[in-house]
Amino acid sequence: MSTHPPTNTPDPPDTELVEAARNGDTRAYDELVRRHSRKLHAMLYQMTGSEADAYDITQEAFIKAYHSLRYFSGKSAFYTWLYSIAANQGRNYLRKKKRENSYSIDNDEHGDALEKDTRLADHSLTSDPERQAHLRDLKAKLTKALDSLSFKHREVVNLYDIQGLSYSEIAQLLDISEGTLRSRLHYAHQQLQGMLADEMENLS
Amino acid sequence: MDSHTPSEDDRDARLGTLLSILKQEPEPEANFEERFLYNFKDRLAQELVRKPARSLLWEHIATFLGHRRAMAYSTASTAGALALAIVAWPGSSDEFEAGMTSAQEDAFSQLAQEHNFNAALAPRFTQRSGKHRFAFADYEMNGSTSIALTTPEEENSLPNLVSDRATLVPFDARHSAGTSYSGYGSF
Repeated sequence: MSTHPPTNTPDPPDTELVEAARNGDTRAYDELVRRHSRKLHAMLYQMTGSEADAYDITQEAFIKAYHSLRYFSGKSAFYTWLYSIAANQGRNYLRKKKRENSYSIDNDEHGDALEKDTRLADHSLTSDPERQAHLRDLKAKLTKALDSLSFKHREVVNLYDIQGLSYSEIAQLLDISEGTLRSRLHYAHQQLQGMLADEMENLS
Repeated sequence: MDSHTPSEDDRDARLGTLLSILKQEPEPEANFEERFLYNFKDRLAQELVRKPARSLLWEHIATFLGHRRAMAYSTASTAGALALAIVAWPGSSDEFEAGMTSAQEDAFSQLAQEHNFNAALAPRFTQRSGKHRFAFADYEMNGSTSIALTTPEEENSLPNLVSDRATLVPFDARHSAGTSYSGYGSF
């Protein structure tokens, strides 16, 4: 969303802005930041479960992209390239978080530190304590199952099942074919269905 | 097929319903983009300031060379000499952050006013090898200025130092427009 005064000319495409930014036009890069920051932040929030950390990673991704603009080949869309930078940083963040959490998991009284995960700080929970407990328990199981997948499988489940993106959107974003995407999703679903059989049974 | 066994599509749908519980959205914020952009510029500027002058100078030379690939041999040898000078520039391993006095803050504000750049971007004072170094960067300026200071008197008269000793020059005519500066100074 731009705050520039409205003009009759259509918004320039990303490719044009990237080219201008490469030639030193910082306002062109500003526009790219305005255009993609909210969407990228929302995706990283879903990935990390922390709004502040997602904000930080999104900032870092834009800075890294700014410094690396000259290496951007233009073979994929700018947002795809930016997302790949951010996803890598998100992955490193999750690895680091996992290492930090391993100590608390080992020492947790109930052996389930996942309940401390910020993802469970859901504002939409009802005020019914029993329902709250059930949802919390269910989310912990889902999170644990998701965390057991490899990053690339978790990523497609996150984008397709949780964020609701279409096959074509995800394929473009990850720069993979739809066939590869379907295959990854199929494998991830099979794994999750095995781990969450009871929960799926209770859903009906 | 057993009628009690759910189909693959049905299992996928159930799984999708379960997983959708995990969907979460950031708190909606009307001016998110502007706040984000402001923080981004500030962060980028701070990063430029913290970078060793050597790497900044190298980046500028790389950019210069990138724009002038068909450069003449004579100019290339000048660039080569510059590169050698950069390699010889002391490393930043012994550099540490030094405090900023109120006199320095005042001097910086005056400097910002004279040169028309954003004084809100706090400068950094560091010490290296017993010398004080002053640096600032403005994202809109596409660069930074770094000056090493030796005496308390010099530290309190930054505007004079900048105009007398540092080279504040337009980085690139394409985005100079009278306000685009970058420069480096070492004494």
